[in-house]
Amino acid sequence: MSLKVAIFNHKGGVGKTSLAISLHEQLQKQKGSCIVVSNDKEGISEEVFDFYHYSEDVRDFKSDAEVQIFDFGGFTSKDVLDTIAASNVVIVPTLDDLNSLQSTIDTIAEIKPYNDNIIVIHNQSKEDTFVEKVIAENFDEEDVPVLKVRHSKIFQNSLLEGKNIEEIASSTGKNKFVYRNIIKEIKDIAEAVSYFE
Amino acid sequence: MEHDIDNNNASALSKLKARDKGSLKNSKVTAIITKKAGRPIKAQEEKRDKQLSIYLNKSELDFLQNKSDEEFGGILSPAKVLMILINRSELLKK
Repeated sequence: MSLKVAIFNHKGGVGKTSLAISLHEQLQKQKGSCIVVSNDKEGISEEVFDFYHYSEDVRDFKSDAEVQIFDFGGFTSKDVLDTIAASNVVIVPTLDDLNSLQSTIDTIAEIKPYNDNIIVIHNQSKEDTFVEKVIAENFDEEDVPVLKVRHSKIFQNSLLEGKNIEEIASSTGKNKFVYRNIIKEIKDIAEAVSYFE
Repeated sequence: MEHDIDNNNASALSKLKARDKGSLKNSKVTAIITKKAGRPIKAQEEKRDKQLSIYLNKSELDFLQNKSDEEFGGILSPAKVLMILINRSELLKK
């Protein structure tokens, strides 16, 4: 049975596609085969990453891959909600700012009736933030756990250069040191996802 | 700089791992199917002593539509809830 992972937030620019790409890297290694499917026309193309596919209605996209990651644009539609309902887990990335956080709360409230298996990924840019506190106040901590990954330019570089995160992180001695924690945090997210298999 | 933030996901991962193992075993699982115009529209599940509404997708609705009222009796037994969950997992295979 394939593992289905939906990544969704109404807000743009919170790191949905970056997370999909970096999570693909880990899950591909763990499970043997993994693809990413997006319904976002403005998203990245297959020419950049051969595992990244566009489909107007992701329900129509057939694949034998062990893991399917759905990288949704910010809009809600019947096919998006159907796919969220049929996924093992839904990941909601968020940034530190208030707009992102409000959108994250609205997004979770909307999708929770369809799928109760939700993880928030806090794309953290500063040490002291109130993301976890606000999520805990609005939702049960056990129902909506928050994992952290530090906000880093390595994600943007990965998309621009068409290289995977680990390839960039291990390219120089300096990169190995600077990005050592990023790799660990992405592995943490992959581990969290595996608990829903 | 990326390395200035001291992140630790160990606590969240530990809770997730524990929840995964214990969620079904420790849950009090009953559900109430709400019907509208003869069709079931949602199931309310009691989970971890809380009531959650589960909105059913089309395949699940079709699955339930074929069941008689007598089979539900208004309140689903844990075995019937399990059937819904099994049906949901069948969908995941597609």
